[in-house]
Amino acid sequence: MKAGLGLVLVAMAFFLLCCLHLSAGARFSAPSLVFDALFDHDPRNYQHVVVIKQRLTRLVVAGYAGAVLAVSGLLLQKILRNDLVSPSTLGINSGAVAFVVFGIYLFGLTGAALFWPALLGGFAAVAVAFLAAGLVSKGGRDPLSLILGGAMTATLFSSATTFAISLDPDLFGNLMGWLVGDIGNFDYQPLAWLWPIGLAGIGFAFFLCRQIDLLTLGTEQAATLGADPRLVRAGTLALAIPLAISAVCVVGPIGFVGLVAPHITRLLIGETGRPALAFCTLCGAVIVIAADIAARTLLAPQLLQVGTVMALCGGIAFLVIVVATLRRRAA
Amino acid sequence: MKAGKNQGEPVLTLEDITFSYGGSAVLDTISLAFNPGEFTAVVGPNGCGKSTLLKVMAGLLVPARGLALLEGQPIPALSRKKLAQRMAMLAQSNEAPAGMIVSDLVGMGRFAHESWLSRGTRDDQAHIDAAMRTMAVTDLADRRVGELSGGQLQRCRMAMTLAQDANILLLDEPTNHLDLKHQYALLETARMQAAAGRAVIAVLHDLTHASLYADRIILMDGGKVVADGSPADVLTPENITAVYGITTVAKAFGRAIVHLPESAAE
Repeated sequence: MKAGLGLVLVAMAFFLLCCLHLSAGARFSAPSLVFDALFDHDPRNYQHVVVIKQRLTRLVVAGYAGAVLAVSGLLLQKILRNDLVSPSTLGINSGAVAFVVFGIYLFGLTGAALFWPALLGGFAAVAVAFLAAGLVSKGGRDPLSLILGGAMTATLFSSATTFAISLDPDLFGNLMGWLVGDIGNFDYQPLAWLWPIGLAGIGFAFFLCRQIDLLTLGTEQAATLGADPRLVRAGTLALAIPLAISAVCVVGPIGFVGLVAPHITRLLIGETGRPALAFCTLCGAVIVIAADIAARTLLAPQLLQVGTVMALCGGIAFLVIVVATLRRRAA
Repeated sequence: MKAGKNQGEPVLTLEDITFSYGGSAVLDTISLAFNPGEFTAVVGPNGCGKSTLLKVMAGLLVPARGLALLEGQPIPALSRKKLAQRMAMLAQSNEAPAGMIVSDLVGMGRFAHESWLSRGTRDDQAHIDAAMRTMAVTDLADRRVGELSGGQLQRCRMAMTLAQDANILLLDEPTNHLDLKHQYALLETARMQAAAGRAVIAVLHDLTHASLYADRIILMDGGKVVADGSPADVLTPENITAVYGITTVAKAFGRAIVHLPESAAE
């Protein structure tokens, strides 16, 4: 598929899903009502309030989380030259959650201040994952060993999280949704001060895109083509981790979108260049918006957690991708 | 011999280069100079240091002692981009993401000439098109890397290296993955690049190839230069015995020098 056509299609999917997201719910709202709620808002009309306060805010949160996680995953996959890495499979999500939980328990942190332990946790998780991968790989560069390291890291930090919660379950009572990965009706509040991170991160990703592409040809080839591999790799990690963390702080550890969106992008329009990056951004948003629609309608009026929906669908996709990687290697 | 020998100053100079990965010296006090218009083949047994030599020239490895100079400037002091404008290298590892489109891959060669504001200019496109014609990969422009054979990918990567339009070309085993026809085509391209005034330095395994296409052969062993000169001077049975440890009979076919093992040469 040509990149231009792909971009048009994913933009259309994005728009349609946005409309569907605003209409769908426990009670279906006709498109005309959604239109009125947006452009001729009546604060006394309960239906209008639902569309804006419950759906539009969730839509923005879902779109943001999907977009930044997808870009983070694509950046990680490109600089590590490993199709299996993503914020969740490297353990970044789990590391962030563990540090946040400890930040709450030990220092009583709240709100915006929680971004810092989360960021620290993200970097710590990457370090631990690389260390563990180095121990299991015996020197070889096997894509699976990094994933194994990531899985070990995720387990480690999840256990730490469980431990901290068991120390004082009451303290974390209203955090349960976030711990699974969920979009709540008030999630737009942290997003109100976190969005600049996403915007700047994606902006820099576009800026650096060409150099990151060079790195996919291997460190030595990239260097002789004129890029500085160490600088580009460090810079890209310094983008990818805060991007993922900014989503985790809002919606919790929603997994697999950072893994699946880059794969869909690669499959449809390739992974090189800024159009692919733009495609991946929208694709991530589409995935999480779709998951949120599913979460709100599948068992309506009961709400599912987006994290649960993503874990179910994404887990299967992850399995398929791992099996495909193994097959390709065996061939 | 070919035209272009000894024209002007050397573009690339190595002075007393010593390099080691930690143990014994992989390169041991090597001094060499490379001229524009000359196709040099670096040959020698596995582990003799020829690939390491190429990496030192490319600035990928910084020697422990000695100077590597590009037109008089120390190579490690140049930025990667400045270096890439004057020196291109075809690395040995044949890797590129399966999803990358061939025209994008070849276009990577233009990075060193791009700025944030100007890329994909008509000049860039002209170099990309010319490089793809030279390597006969124009038909593959819209294909994905994953669909290519090893040989096709190698030719596309060579096109990328040519698109870089650098005055020094470093080729690390460029005939890898190629079938007979394309091996000769690639070596012919390398010779044409030298004829156009570039300094071409290639690590080659095949001595016959080296004798047939190169103006100059550097024979290495154990991190030292054993012989350096024209193919006829370097590829003597004595040198081959000294370096490879086998006794050979040399036969000449025009320019080509073929070394046959003594036991099989009857």
